[in-house]
Amino acid sequence: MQISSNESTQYAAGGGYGPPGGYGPPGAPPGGFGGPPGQPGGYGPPGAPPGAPPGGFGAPPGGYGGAPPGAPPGGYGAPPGQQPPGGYGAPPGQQPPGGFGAPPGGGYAGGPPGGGPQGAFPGGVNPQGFGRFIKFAIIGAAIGGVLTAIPLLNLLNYCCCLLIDLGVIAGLAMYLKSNPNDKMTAGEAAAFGAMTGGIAGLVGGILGWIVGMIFSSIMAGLLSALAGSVPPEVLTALGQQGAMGLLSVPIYAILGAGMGALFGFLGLILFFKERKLG
Amino acid sequence: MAPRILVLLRVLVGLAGLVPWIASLLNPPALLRFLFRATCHQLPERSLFLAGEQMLVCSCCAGVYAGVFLGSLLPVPKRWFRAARPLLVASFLVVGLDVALQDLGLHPVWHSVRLLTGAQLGWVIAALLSRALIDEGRARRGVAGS
Repeated sequence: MQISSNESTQYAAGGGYGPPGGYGPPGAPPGGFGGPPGQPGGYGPPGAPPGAPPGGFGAPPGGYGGAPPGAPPGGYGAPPGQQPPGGYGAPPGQQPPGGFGAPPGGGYAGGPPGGGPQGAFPGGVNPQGFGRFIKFAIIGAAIGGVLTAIPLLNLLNYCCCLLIDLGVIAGLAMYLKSNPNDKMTAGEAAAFGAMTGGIAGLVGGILGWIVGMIFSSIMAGLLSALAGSVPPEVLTALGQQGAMGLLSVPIYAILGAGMGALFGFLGLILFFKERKLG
Repeated sequence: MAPRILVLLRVLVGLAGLVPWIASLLNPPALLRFLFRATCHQLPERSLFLAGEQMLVCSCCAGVYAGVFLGSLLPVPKRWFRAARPLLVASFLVVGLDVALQDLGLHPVWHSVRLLTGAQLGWVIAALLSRALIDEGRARRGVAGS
């Protein structure tokens, strides 16, 4: 049986994909709108919006048979070896009514048995993963890094890398404010802090090195203007300081990551305890 | 968060606590001293000397680092976690009080007290984190196993 490409897209692939489950609201019973794969039939002709009343032209197993006599071979059934026909036909490019499948026996609806302040995800596992933190980690790192690079203000880092920790807590606060329904585990907070602190150390180290170089050149210029020439030992010292400043960048990143891990956790416990999961 | 990452975080924290102690014992080069200047004032009168060499950080920071290392090995008991916030606040207050009294001239620099107050702060933070990471790892393994 020959199938034109458009037809095969519209009809042959029109169903059978709806695993059970769906993104239900918290507390909703598990399950959803999906039908078991392989079930024949289908709801809604192509072009109907998802959720349209049933009454359609579900393809029987095997498809719509052969072509009329004399006509070129064709039809709507899936060829052997392809996705079996049936299920809930959705218009091309639209969401199939089966929705997003959930793991068997559950779905992302409600917390684990026993209830408790578990948020919207079973076992506290947010399906978006750790990637949801990256934007806020970068913002927090930028805050901590820029503050760290400011001369004199950076003396506050003597107290457990305070400026980097501020960046970590600021990033954490922004994330939790932007996602009022989300909660974090202690491990996620620590990992968030480690990432933010590491980037902040990197940014602060590089910016601090640039600022240091600018100050060094200004100092050298002032000295040459006042004394006529800069003593070679002063130039050597300034050069060494610049080189050491650059070498310090990875160390700041590691220290920032370690301190950030501790203060990400601390920030969650001290300031956002109600948002802590588990 | 995968259990492996949680273990890795704990190891990272423990190693961070060891760094200045090991580095100080290995006769640190000027570069390392310079690097730690970003995190501590390194005033000689407030620092410990190991084998005749000044440590990379002051005695209070050295205590914090030692406490962090200990905390990664010895987590707080589970029931302490409920009192995490007052515990942390009290730990910070103890360090702050000692530093304030010392800077006000009410007592001289007592290295043993600085070391101890710093160590209790480092231990409380790292031990709470360790407990949280251990519990979370167990929960994750339980979910994965079921």
